[in-house]
Parts: sequence; structure tokens; C-alpha cells
Amino acid sequence: MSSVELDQVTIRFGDFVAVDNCNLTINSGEFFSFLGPSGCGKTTILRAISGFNEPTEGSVRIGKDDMRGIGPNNRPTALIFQNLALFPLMSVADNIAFALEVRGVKYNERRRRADELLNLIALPGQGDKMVSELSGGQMQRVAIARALAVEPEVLLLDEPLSALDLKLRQHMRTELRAIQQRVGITFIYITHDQGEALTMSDRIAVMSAGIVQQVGNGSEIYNNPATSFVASFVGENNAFQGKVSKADGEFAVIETSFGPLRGINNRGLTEGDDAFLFIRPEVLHPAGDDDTEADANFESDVIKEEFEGSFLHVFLRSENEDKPYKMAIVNDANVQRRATGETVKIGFDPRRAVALPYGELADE
Amino acid sequence: MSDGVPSSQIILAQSGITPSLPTPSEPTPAPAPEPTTPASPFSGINPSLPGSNSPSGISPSLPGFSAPSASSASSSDTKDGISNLNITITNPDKLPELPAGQHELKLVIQDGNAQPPADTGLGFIEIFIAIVAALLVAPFIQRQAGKWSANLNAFQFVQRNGVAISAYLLIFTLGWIIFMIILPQLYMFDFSFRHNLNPSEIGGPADTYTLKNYTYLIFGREGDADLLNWLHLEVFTKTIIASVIVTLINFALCYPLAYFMAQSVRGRNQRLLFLCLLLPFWVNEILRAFAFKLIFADLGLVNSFLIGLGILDQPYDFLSANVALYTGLTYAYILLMIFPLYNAIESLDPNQVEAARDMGASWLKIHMRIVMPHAKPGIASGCTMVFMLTAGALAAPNILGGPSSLWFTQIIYQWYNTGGNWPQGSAYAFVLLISCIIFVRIMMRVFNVGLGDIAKR
Repeated sequence: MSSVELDQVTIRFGDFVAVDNCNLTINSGEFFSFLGPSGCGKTTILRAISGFNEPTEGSVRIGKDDMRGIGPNNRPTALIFQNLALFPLMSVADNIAFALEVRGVKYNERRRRADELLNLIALPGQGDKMVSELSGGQMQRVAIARALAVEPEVLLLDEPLSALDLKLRQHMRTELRAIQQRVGITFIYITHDQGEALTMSDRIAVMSAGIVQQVGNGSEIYNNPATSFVASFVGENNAFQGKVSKADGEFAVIETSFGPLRGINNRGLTEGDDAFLFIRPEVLHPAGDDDTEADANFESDVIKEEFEGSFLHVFLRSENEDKPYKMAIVNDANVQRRATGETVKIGFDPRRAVALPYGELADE
Repeated sequence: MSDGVPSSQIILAQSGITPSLPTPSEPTPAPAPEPTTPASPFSGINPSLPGSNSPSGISPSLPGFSAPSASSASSSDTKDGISNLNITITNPDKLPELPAGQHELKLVIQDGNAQPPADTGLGFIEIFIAIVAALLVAPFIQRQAGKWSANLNAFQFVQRNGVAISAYLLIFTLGWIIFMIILPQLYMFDFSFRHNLNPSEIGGPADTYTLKNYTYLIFGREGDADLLNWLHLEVFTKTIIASVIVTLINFALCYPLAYFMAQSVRGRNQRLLFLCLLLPFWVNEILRAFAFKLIFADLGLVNSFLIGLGILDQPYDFLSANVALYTGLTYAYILLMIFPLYNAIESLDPNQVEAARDMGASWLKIHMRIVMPHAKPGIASGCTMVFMLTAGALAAPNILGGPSSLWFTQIIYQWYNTGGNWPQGSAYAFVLLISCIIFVRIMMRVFNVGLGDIAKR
């Protein structure tokens, strides 16, 4: 078990900067996820840790050892590929024991170890099957067993669940997490699916355009996004653009086209800055008579309503026609439906709204 | 054939054959006029039937053998020989009446003993019967045609491709297989079991089946001092072994290149590499072979280079040592190795290679356990083709072979061409073909490859 340290890692392909000055420490035994849209550089980082790429600048350390110049076959890491890359011409047991085979382990010992791992992944006695006879989820587990066979200190997973259907994916999330806790080694997980990242990870690094935007556990990232990208990429969010008209250590008031609105000012915004105010759909609610707090309510028109069982989603006119604001109302017994075009007064808790410097938004 | 100028056939004895050899047919004392010009222009006439210039005295029992008559039989362009002919008719009164200047000559190289062919022309009666039969059958066909086409349409193949295209496909492939491959080969196969007879004896009592053409390869001529035909057996074995070696060299050269092209090079560079491989093969085989000869000659490029570097003191005889031959043969079929290998390796998921590497496998292990098992059908396909074609190569061994070396195909060629013994040549050729097939099938069994696998690539 080892920690993984990325020290000022920059990776370039020609002129293209895939990873820009990344500094991270992944603790030993941690389930760590890199979350970001495709092309954000997360797979490049993973390949730099596994040894298929070398960083252009900076260093990757596993344990305390600098990994520069050490090939993927000599690093204490194991990589699970997006398409799993199981060997189709070998049996399940041969697949799992391949790493032992190349280390010259005798057949009987290999077979014993493969059976052990098959038990770990809950596929006992399936060693003689061919890979093609397995289902998608079983292949997934065989790929994990194959990677674990070398007893790596760090297991790297490159979107391994993306090929599975939704139900299996949700099942495998819990299973992956359980396997990680059983073997206790460091898991580094790459995904573009925030649900996966939030449910499985101890900590998450959100990446965009080669830059690590924020590192933190799930609730930190969801509740206190550090940049406009994180706020808009993780979960759903309503972005109100404007200029800061008033700011102190706690709150910033932003002059939006819906009037002045207030949110938490964690990033030290000062008067006159261009800024976004992010308010999540579940924070918005129809204003009652007691919603008189200054800069914490606005008026807008209902565009449409969607009833989704536990929530009623109300879409509201925003500055941008393509991206209406969304309000999620918990479906209790007296939820009230509104007509299209009706103007409603909306309130929110300013302590749950986040004011952030103007920046890139994630496009969904 | 005889109804043009029946009364004045001009019998031409084939000339140009060494006097010691019997002429293909006894020229019957001609009732027709002798050609007055010397018959030398006829030296190009090559009887299209094998055995017609009875080679009883010229069995090519020695390698490198070349009978004086070789040249007389080698040209096959009979038409040119005749078009230059200059004949004077000495007694024109026996010719049919024709306007002056329009005498039509038909030259018949006649076999004196042969029966005049039967009249095969259809008489009036036969034609009449055929027409009546057609008229009787026609209504029936008309009635059934709809049913037939309905049945035909029921075949999925026809449904998918339409009648015209499926008919074309069927006729084309079947026609190709039957008329271009099976029938001629059957004919040659039949030939290999026959005696080498004069045309006059064909169909006669002497025309029986025999195994002697095959036993000759093993035991030689009866009455020879040695029990076995060591010379031919040795050449045969050497050819097979040398072909295996050439195939292995070819594989060793092509595999890394194919892997590189399939897994490492992309886009423009890949196309460029393909072009570099393909374009040299526009140069024809003979030119390439002679170029190799030039390169490996005593004062050729390789020797000058090695002497210039001080590696050699005096020129090394690459031609005698068969270095030129192996190089030429290897190069000749390199594409047939590279492309099946490339196709097979190209379909391998690069992640598999990376996964194996990630698990600590060495490059050797990766290729032995991951790449080669995946590429096995392509390897089998490439090796089979190269082996078959190398064993059957003729031009390269002819041009590049050392003076003491002989390829089995050269013996076959001598039987057909110089020896004029087609049955013997056919027997030898079939021995080569069948041995190669057996060898390839054994190898495929050893490496556990099916015929279907080969066709996949």
C-alpha cells in the first residue's frame, strides 16, 4: 500500500497541454476518483501513474519512489482498461493468473491463486470457462481479479463501468467499493459519471481542460464548489450572472438581471468583480409570506412543469432561453401545480447559494 | 479438317528435329506435291500434343541436361512460323478451281496412321429431329418456367442478390472452379498415369495406365545401378526443406514489420509504408531476379561493399552459396506474408498488449502469449502461401540458383519442355503438389489451425 504523489505534473502532446501543473497527493488505501468530461486529461494522468506515459514535467511518486523511467511492467500498479482488455483466447483462470505466469509461478500455485481470487469476486469454480462465456458484470469482476493477482499497491481503473447497463453499473459501484474495502489498497478511479464518483469515492478531483479544479470529498464538492466549472458540472445548478455590488467576508451580493441576489463568498469576491451565483434546484422554493430576507428572492415565469414522482420540477424563464432555471419541489401531499406563463416569486436560503468568480461553465 | 482441299493435302514432315531422333510421324509417301522450299521455316512448329517428338533417347536423367533438340521444341508459336511460309505449288491442276491469286492453302500435319476423322457435320435428319423435339418440349418448359423461377426465388441467396447477379456469381465461380481448375488438373492427373506415346499410339493398345512415372521419381529407371533415384529424391527433399527455411526467414522478417505497421504507425505514415512495400512489386519478376543476380555477383554491390569495408578480402560467391537464391525467393513473396500478418495483427485490441505489459510481461512473452495466438490464422495463411509458392517457384531458381543447385520445379520444367515427356512432368508436378498439401495440413494440425481460419483473413 502506497500513496501516490503528483508533483507539478505537466503532460504535453506537441503543443497540446493535456495536464497542466497538477499537484495531488492520493493517500494510501484511499478510493480516489478523477471526475471530468471526456478530453479533460484524466485518462492521461492515469496513464502517467501506470507508466504508459511519462510526464513532460514534474514527477510521479508512488510510495516515496520517483517513477520516472520505470516501465508499466515494473510499477506497483495495475490498470483496468475501459474495455477490460481480457484475453479472449485464454480461460478465465489463465486470464487471472497471467501476471503470475509471466513471473514464472508454477501452474499449481497459479491455479490456487486464481481460485482464491475467483472466490473474492464471487465467481467460484468458473476458472475453466472462456471469457466469452461470461456476462458483462462477470467480465468486469474477472478484470478486477486479474489486476489484483499481482497484488498491486495501487489499482487504476479507467471508466471500467461505462460499458455496462445502468442497473449493473449501480450494482457494480457497491461491489467495487466493497472489494476495495476488503483488499484495502489504493484505488484510483477515472470517470465522467458524477454519480459513480460521488457514491464510491473517499475523495474526488474534478478536472477540466487539463487543470484540477477542486479536490475534496463528495459533499465538499457538491456543496462548496470552488469554481464555476465544478458548480455547473457536479450535480444540477442554476447560474445567475452579474457584477458584485456588495461583498464582505461571508456574503457577496450580485446584481443579476433578476435583481440583487446574495450567496456565500468563499472565494474573496470584491465589489465590481464579474461573478456567478449558483443556486441548486432543491434550494429554490416558491416564496411564502415569510420570505422577506433581502436579496434572497426573485420573480420569474413558469415555462413548464415536469412531474417526476418524488420531485416536481418547475422550469423558469432565465437569461438564456436554452437553459431555463430549474426548481425542484419535494412532492408532499399539498404540492401546488402552476400554469405555464404564471409569474411566481421564488425564495432561497443565501447560505446555500454560492457566489463564484466568473468562469467556464460545463456544457451538459 | 479434311474437307477444304481433300485432293491436295500437303503433308509436311516436321523438320528441325535432330536427325537422330525419329520424326513424330512417318511421313507417308505423299500423293501430293513435295514442298519445294526448304522446310527450315517450320522449325518453330511444336506439336501441340506431348510425346509427339518421341523423346525415348533424351530422358533428362542429368541435372542441367539440355538436348540439342531443345531449341527445336521450345518455340510454341506455330502461327508465326506458318505466316512466313513460302510455298510453290508444282502441280496446280490437282487443286480445286479457284480464281487466280486466291488459292487457299490448308496445311495439315498429318499422321499417316491416324484414321481420317469421322464426318461430324449434322445432317438434315438430325436438325429436323432437334427442331421437332424442341417444339414438343417448348410448351412444357413454358408451363414450368414460372414454377421454376418461383422455386429459384425461394433460395435466400437468390432473394438477396437477384436472379441476374446470383446467376452471374454462380456461373462465374463455378465456371472458374470447374473449367479453370478442376478439369485441367484432372486432365493432367490422368496424364501422369500414362505412357509417353507418339500421337499415333494414343488410344491404341499401348495406351494403358501405369505407375511408372511415379515410381521413376523413387526408383529411377529399371536397370540403373542404384536402387533409388537419389538425384531426384534429393532435389525434392532439398526443395521442400529450402522452402520451409525461406518461409521461416520470410516470417521472421515480416512479423516485426507487420506488427509495427498494424500497431504503431497511423495515417499518412502508414499509407507511405504500404506504398513503399507495394511499388517495388510493379517491377516484374525477371527484372527483379536479374537485379538480385547483379547485386550478388562477384563484382556486385554486396561484394564491393564488403570488400570496401574490409570485411572480405576477395569476392564471396553468393550465387554458388545460394544466398542470392534465398534472398530472391524471400523477397519474391514477401507481400503474401506481410498482408495476412498485418490484417491479423491489426484486429488486435492494443489494450490487450498494454494490459499484458502492465502485468509485467516481457515483449517476448507478450508476442508469444497475446499477439501470435491472436494472429495465428494470419500466420498460417501467410506461411502457407509463401511455402506453396516458394516450392513451386521457377524463375528465381532458374536465374539465381547456383550451378550445383536444382529446384524441383526445374526438373518438372525439364520433363515438360526439354524432355517433352508430359506424363512424367505431370507425375512430378503432382508429387510436389500433394506433398506440399500434406505438409501444410500436418503443420496446420500441429498448430491447431483450421482451413476456415485461413480463409478468414
